[in-house]
Amino acid sequence: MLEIDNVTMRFGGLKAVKDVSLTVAAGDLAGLIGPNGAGKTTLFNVVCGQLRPSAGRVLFEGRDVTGWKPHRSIRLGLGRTFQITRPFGRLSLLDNVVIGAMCREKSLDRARQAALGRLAQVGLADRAQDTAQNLPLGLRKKLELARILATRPRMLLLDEVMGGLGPREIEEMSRTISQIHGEGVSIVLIEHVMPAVMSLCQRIAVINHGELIAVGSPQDIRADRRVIKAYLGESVAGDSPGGQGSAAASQTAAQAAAQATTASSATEA
Amino acid sequence: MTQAPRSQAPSHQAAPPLAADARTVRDPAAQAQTARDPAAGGGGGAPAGAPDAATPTAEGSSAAGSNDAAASAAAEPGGRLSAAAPAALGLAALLGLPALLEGSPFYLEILALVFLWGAMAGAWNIVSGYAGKFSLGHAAFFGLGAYASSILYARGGVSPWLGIPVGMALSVALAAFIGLVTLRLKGKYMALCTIAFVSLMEILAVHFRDLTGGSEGLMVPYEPGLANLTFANDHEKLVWAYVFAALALGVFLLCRRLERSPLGYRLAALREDEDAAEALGVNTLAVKLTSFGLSAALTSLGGSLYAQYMLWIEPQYVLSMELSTQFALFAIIGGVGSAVGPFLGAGLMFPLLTLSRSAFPGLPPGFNMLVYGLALIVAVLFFPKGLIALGPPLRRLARLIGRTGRARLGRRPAAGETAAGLNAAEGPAGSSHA
Amino acid sequence: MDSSIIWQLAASGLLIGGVYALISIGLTLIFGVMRIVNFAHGEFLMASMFAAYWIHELTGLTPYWSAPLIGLLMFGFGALTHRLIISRTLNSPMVVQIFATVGLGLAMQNLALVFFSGDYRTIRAAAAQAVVRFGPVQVSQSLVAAFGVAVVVSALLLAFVSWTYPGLAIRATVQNRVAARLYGINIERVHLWTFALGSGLVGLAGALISMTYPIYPSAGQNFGLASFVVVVLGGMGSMTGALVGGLLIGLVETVSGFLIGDDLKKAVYFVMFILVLTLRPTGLFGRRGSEEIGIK
Repeated sequence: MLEIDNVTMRFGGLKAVKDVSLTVAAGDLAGLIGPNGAGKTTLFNVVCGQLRPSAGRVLFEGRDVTGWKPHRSIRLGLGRTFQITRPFGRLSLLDNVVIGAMCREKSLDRARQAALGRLAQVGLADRAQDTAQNLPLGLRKKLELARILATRPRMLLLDEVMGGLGPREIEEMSRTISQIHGEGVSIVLIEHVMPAVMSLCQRIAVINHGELIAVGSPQDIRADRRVIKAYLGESVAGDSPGGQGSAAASQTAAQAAAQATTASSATEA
Repeated sequence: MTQAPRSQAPSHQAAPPLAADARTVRDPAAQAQTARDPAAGGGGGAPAGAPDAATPTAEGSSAAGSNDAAASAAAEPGGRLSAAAPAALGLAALLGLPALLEGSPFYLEILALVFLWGAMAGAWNIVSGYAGKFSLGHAAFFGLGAYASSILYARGGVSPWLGIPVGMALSVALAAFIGLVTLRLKGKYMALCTIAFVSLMEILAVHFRDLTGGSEGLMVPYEPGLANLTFANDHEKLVWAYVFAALALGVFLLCRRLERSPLGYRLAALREDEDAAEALGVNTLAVKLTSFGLSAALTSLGGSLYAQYMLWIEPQYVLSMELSTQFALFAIIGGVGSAVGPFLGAGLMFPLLTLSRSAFPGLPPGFNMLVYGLALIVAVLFFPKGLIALGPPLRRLARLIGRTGRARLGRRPAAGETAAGLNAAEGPAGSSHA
Repeated sequence: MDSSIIWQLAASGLLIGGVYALISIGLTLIFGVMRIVNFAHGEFLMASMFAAYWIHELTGLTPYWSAPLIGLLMFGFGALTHRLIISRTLNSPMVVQIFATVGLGLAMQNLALVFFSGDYRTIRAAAAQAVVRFGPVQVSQSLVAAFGVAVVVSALLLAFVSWTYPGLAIRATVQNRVAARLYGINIERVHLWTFALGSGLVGLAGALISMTYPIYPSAGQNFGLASFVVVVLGGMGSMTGALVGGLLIGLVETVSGFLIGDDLKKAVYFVMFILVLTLRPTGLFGRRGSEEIGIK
């Protein structure tokens, strides 16, 4: 469904994304992980049109959407959320979502109905009249989700939608994501909350320093030496030359990594 | 104070996103179709559309707003009447005032110009208040309209009826060009760029004096007749007052319509966060250009009409930065981002200064602009929401007075009002049925 | 074409360019640190020109001597303006950021009009008419002085910003406001001093050019716009940019004045302004602040 073809993104002398190729099939729930600054959000920006790649192509359902402005690719069903929430601050929650719904509904009435439905889906229906800029972080993330859902995406790119959430909110968000996936939306998730990623995603891609270093199932990724090295450094990865370190050592190392990232994201403001 | 049910923003069309007042938007499922309430609709309270960081929900009135939203959807009889009152008043002013003032051309002209400047501030508001793209170059469109129709008429014998659309078309083209050029520029830098355009046009107007009359100005031929959009002396000012009143009404209604339309939502999205809007399917470029073009066309229309009214135009009047700032000033003082704000601002500032000029003839030149400048600073720093921020408190006061007044007078209930409804005005809150 | 004309044009252009540079240095400094556009910048210049005029009228002091004093005066005025107005606009919505200084400029211009009338005034001093000759070239002495001061001031400012602690604080604020605050830098004070310093520089400039140009309430308007062009061309926040941009604009203006006439010459650099904003918003030496203008 989504084909990222040798995409490179250069900013002046810096290569934020180096020759990344990735495919996501329809119906997938995939994860994109990697240390901070690895280039994940940049990759999303390229896919969704916020950035034009220095090289490479992006194909969505067979169509070349490289460099397409976001409002065009939205029509095809390719949507995203932002890492730092961007609500329409002075508008109500309802109006925020209505704007998303408007790209699918011609009439404002139907758009409002759709918007209310989406707000209900994320549990914000009772706050429909509140002003967006007053929302706490967790609810802003939900609003972000409701908004993009209103555009009826077929593939959704979620950029750290759990960032800064507490454990219960994470659980709630995980369930919502599963639910959305169940409705037939393909999802790619950038996340640091490892337990969620491991349990939700069928396939995970790992990026470090702009390069794709591993792709596979959660188990594969957990044990992958290169992934461990990327997160924790050389010494923890063990010294076996192959892709798999000794099972036990890599297991504990991966668990430590998962816990470390969970702890840090939970304490994030 | 007991809280009686009020007729609020009657339908889901109230408090549209351009007014950005979240408080009175209501659940469409609970709506009853009631009469359009222009007073409430005009922002339904301090429109957060006024680019102001202060959060509306922090105000006490927000609690009242959401209570009403939760209350019955039926209109309260007294409320419906008091809501219709401002609209009727406005219309009466438009129709009646000019005729009333016919005897004194001085006041008539002030009224006429209030309508014109209000309309121009309203047009400016479309791109600056609603879309959030602040322009300091609107005098370029005003002047372009003025010169286009005047040059075609004076030098080419083309009737202003044709010249005006030509001016509008040119202004739209210019607006599109400016919009594309300033595409990636953020707020203040875009404003800076628009200044460059106005200055450029002023220089060109002064330079090509064969065409434009240069800095001495251009005289518009006086050949009275409808075909030439010039009027004979006896009723001239009155007719023009009505013409400008019509323009003002047109701009006002257009803005109200815009606020409630899909385009209005998109403009609000563009204003709040352009990238997020784009990522939600809003074609920000198209929306930007559309609003700019619309704003430019209306401003150009005003400029052409002004030229026909004054029969004389000069670059320093119609193509000056001061004029641009004036449009902005009136809108800001009245309330940016609302349909009625620009008219309030024009209605307050322009007569105030013109009348004080005549009251104190010794005032030196530059006094008006000095006051405008100071007013702008004070308004923007201390009253960023503008005069309409006075709306909710005043309206509540008015309702309070109206209700107790009517009850005391023992007025007979009008059709549709029940005794219960009338009594409810004095008693504790309860639902009323129309 | 007579080669002496070329030299004359070049000399005039560079000298005027130096003046533009001096006027723009303050603006670009303010922009770089505070990311604000002072729409009243031209009026600050006009105010200092009038100050030079009145000081000369009342005390006979030529602007060469009163320039430092006026610089100090405008420094104070800048600090006052910052306290009263600018500081309230920094985290405010766009309408406030733009129109507070637009209103200020309008008010200042018309205050001058009310008190001093729109008459053109000139400083009648021997120094004002003095002319210097370099070979085939003849230029006004005061312009040469202004140019000299521009170069010296730029150098001093660059040194200040690069080598002193306050300068370091300024640079830190430019690059990362939050981090600077976390490291103990008092951002509000940096802003205050920057705005005051920028205003002082404009004061200096105004005093120096008051002998070359007529003084009237709207005198600041053209210079103000020109300084915006210079700053954008050179790169907002870059002092080297202000210098180079100023010289460039001065040359362009002088040459186009020669080629297409005085009344159109200003049109040329407005066109340049629009072109730069469209094609290369970061300017020639674009620095960090310039991202805000163009690149999303």
